[in-house]
Amino acid sequence: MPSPSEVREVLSELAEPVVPAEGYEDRIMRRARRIRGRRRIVSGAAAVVCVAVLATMFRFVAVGPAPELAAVAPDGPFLGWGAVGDVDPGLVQEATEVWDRAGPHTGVRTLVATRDVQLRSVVVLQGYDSRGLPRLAFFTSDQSAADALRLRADRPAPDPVRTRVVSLVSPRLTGPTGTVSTDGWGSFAIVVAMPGVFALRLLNTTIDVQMFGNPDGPTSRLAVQNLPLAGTAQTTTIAGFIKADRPLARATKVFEVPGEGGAIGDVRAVPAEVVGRADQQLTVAFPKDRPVRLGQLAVVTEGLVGRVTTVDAARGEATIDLVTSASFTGTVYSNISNVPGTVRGTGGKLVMEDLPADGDLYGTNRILMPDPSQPNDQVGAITIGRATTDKPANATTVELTPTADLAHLENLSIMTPPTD
Amino acid sequence: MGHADEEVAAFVRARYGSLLRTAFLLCGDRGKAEDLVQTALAKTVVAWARLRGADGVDHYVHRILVNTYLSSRRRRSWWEQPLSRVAEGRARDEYVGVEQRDWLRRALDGLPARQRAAVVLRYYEDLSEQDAALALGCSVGTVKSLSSRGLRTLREQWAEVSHA
Repeated sequence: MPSPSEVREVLSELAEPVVPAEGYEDRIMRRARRIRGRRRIVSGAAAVVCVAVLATMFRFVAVGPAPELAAVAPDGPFLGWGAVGDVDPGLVQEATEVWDRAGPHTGVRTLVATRDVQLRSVVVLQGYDSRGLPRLAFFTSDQSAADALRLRADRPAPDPVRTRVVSLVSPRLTGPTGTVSTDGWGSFAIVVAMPGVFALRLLNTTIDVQMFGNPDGPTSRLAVQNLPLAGTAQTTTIAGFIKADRPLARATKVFEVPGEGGAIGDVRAVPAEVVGRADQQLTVAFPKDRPVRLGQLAVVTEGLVGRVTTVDAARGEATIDLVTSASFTGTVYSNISNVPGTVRGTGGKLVMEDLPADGDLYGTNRILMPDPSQPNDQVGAITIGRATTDKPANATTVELTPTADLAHLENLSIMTPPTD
Repeated sequence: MGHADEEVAAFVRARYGSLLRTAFLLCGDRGKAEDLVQTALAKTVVAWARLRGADGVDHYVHRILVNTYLSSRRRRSWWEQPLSRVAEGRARDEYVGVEQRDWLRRALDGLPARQRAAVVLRYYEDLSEQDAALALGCSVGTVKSLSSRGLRTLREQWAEVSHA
């Protein structure tokens, strides 16, 4: 019976006579070359197959060519869009009658005539006024008068070729004409997009959420959304999305535009262009026919820029002190928690002072400044900044970070009362 | 010829002879042994760039050699079945040494492939159980089990031959 050492010995003896034949090196190298060649072919074929599979998948499932929003031929001077969803003929007739009280309208076309859970009725019409000018009008129910339709906005018809969305953002859409809602969330946005838009997104900088329209509904290109009373057209951004008709396709944003205001009784936003800048001051140019007064607020979508401190009406120029300038002060309050205080620029920074010692204020809380052009402190209040840190207990001061990008301003709006 | 080519050629020259003998013990045929070794070394040449810095070139070669051998045995097992086993009997050679070698060759042929590989690696290559486990791609416990069973089978056949 062999022991392991005997087995080892016999194995060695058995293998001993086996000696290499000549030329083995060349044979090994040839084999290595063949293996490399086969691997290259296999790798190449695998790569080709992978690319083909991915390309096929992307082509038919997910990506493919980017979808495009098909143009709609204009209807003369009007938007050539079909009506959104089912049209209620009774609402169209009532709205037309309301519109005709200011003068007869002809060639009336309907963009929207529908019932809504929040606004009760929403009607958007296009038509010629008595002077033959194309107009666009918004109507909603007066909930204090048995839901009778009221004319909310009557403006020139937009460019029928370039316009992709029309909107009305206002806190004056639920009661008598020109009257502000008493509901804390009584501002509304009515948005109508052109056919082909799959979903709408409303972003309002007075609140910290994005609101999406229903992408699957028959009225997906109509959005009616309520906002806090501070919500205005100037703080609203509207985006429209389309989606390719294929599985797993993602929605593609096709436009992003500011909200439109101009409801009867609303403040008027005077557009202004920044033409000069000193350390903490801006010089802006505005249309000479628009009234701009001292103390009015200058805003951008993200929030408050500053306050008008000088006006040269003849030249159509105004000076605006930035919120961080040492001369800037004002009363403010925190959003939702409603903690009052004052703000003061320090010549580069912004601080909130005179806070109640027992008032809670936390980092990133939004601070609002009332707009003197509005009827009360809530309506159209503008975000001036956010708390940089939590307010320590018993402290009465906290630093704010302005929400507007004060270093890169090109255009802004000056908020003016409707009566000027 | 580059430095790497010289390195790999030197490695092939240094290891070819011993690997050929190991391969012969694994498969029992000189021609097949050359095929096994050349395949294993060709794969090593292809992988040389990533093996150069590593310490385990020998482990890699052993593993490729054993895998290639086991794969060839598996392929043979379904298309190259032996028609019948060679009857065990006394060695025909008159010389004891020759008789022992003949007996061992036939006894090795009778072992399952993995047992044979374990026996060769442990008792001819003198690999540790850990290194043999690396070459076989199994645990140390499996190596112990395979080599022990292989050795027991060899002993049983030795006893049969001795009593015949």
